[in-house]
Amino acid sequence: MDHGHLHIDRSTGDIDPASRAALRAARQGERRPSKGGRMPVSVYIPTPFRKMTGNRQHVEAEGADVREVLADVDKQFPGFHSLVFGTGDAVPAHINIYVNKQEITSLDGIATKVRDGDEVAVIPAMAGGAGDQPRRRIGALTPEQVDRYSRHIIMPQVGPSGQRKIMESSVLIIGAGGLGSPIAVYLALAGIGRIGIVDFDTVDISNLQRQILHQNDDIGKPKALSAKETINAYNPDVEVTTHQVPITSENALAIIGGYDYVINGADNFAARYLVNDACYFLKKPLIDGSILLFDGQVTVYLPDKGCYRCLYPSPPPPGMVPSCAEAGVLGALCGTVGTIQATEALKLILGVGETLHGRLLLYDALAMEFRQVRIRKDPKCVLCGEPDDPSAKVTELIDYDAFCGGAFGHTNEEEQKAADATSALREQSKV
Amino acid sequence: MPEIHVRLFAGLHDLVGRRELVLSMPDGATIGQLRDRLGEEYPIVQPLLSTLVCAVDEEYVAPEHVLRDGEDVALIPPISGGS
Repeated sequence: MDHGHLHIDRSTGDIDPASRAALRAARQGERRPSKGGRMPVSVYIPTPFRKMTGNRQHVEAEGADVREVLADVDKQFPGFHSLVFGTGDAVPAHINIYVNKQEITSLDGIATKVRDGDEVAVIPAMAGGAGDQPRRRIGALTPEQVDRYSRHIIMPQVGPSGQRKIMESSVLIIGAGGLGSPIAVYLALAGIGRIGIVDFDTVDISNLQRQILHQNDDIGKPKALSAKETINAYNPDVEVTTHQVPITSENALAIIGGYDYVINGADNFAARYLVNDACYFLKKPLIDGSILLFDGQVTVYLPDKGCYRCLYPSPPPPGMVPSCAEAGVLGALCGTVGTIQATEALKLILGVGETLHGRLLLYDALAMEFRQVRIRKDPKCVLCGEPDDPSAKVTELIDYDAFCGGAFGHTNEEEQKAADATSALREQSKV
Repeated sequence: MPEIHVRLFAGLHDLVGRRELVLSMPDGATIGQLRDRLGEEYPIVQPLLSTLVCAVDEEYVAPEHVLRDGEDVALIPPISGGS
C-alpha cells in the first residue's frame, strides 16, 4: 500500500513548523466538519501484526484521536498495544502511524484527531509484508547482463525469468564474518538486487584466516564497509545497504522488514533467537547456519512452518557452547556451510528444488559426513505455536541478552577470553 | 535390554571425547531417560542435556519416545558460531 509521500528524517524527527501548519490546513480542508464524539475508523493492520487480529487486514475502532483508536483496538485484541508499542507509551522509532496516508509526526502525533471513515495504518518502518515494499523491477536484461549471467540463464531451472527474479530480490545477511563472507560473495556474483549487511565490528587480522570478504588492506576498516567494497568489486550492479550497528530488539524489525530473505551468520545465541523471533513476526524466510570447530548445521525456516525455537526452545547455559573466537573454527568449513546457505537462498528465490525446510543438515568435516534429521514445527512452541501455559507465549521481541544469560554477544568478558587465548598462543609459538 | 547406538554431534562429541557409543537401556526406556543416562556417565554434558535435539533414525522425536532395540539415536546440541 501507499504510505503517503511525506518523508520525515527519522534520525532527527525534524519537520519545519511552516510545512506542519500547511499539512494540517490541507488535511482539515479535505474533511467534513467535525460532528464531535467517538466515530468508527478503519485501522489497517500490517502482516506482522495480523496474527493479533485473526488475520484481519482492517479492523473497526472508535476514538477521537489516534491514541484512543489504538487503545480501542487493544481492547478488542488484547496484546495489540504491547506488540506495537513494546512496554512504553511512545511510538517506537521503527513504527510509523498514518492517518489517511499521512504520517502522524507531520500532524499532531499520537493526539492527531480522527473522524468517521478515516483510515489509521500502523506500519513497521520500511517493513510489513512483501506487499508493503516497493519492489525492484527488472526489465529486459542488457547484453552485458546476459553475458555475465549466461551460465545461470542457460539452465532451464533459471532462464532469463529466473535471473530477473534473482535481480529483483533483496537479501539481508546477519554478520559479515565467516558465514556472511561466502554467502555475500556468491549472492553478489549471482546478481541479487540488493544485499543488506548487518555488522558493527571492524576487520581484525585474526578474521583473515577465513572471512573472504576482507583482505589485508581492510584491517581496521568497518566490516560492513569492507563487505560493500568487495561485493561491488565483484559485481557493481548489486546495491549494498550497510547496517553498521549491533542488531537489537529495538532495530531488528526495522532492519529485517526491509528485505525479502534473511540469512543468519550471527555468532552468538542472543542474536540467533532475536533474528528468529523478528523473522517470525515479519514472516520472512530465514536461512539459518551455524559453525563451530569442524561442525556445521544448516536449515531453512519458512513463515508459519516452524522456527529456531521449535528446534532449540532454550539456549544452553552461558559458557557451555563456546564461540568461534573461544574454540576456533576451520576456515574452509565457513565456505562449505555459507555456500549451502547461499544455495538455499537462491533456490527459494527461484522456487526450484527441495530446500532444507523441515530438515536439519549436520556437517561433520572431521568424519567428512553429511547427515540430516527431519524436524517439524512444535505445536507448543512459545513463539510460533500455542504453549501449554499461555502466559509463556512470546508476543514481542524480548531482552535476548537476559534470555541467553547475558554471557553471549560481544561482551567484554568474551573479548577478553579471546584476547587471552591469542596471547597464550603467541607465548606457545615462541617456544 | 535394548541396545541403542548413540551418535553425538558438534560440541557434544568434543565434551565426551567420542563420536559414537552403545548404551543398554531397560525395556520401555525413553529417549529422555537415555539422555539422562548420558549425563550420569559423562557429568560434563549435564548442562547441555535440556538443549539437545534428539532424533531416532534421522527423525526428530519428543523425549517420551520409547526406544527399541537397534535404533539409531542422534543427540544434537545447538551451536552458535558464525564469525
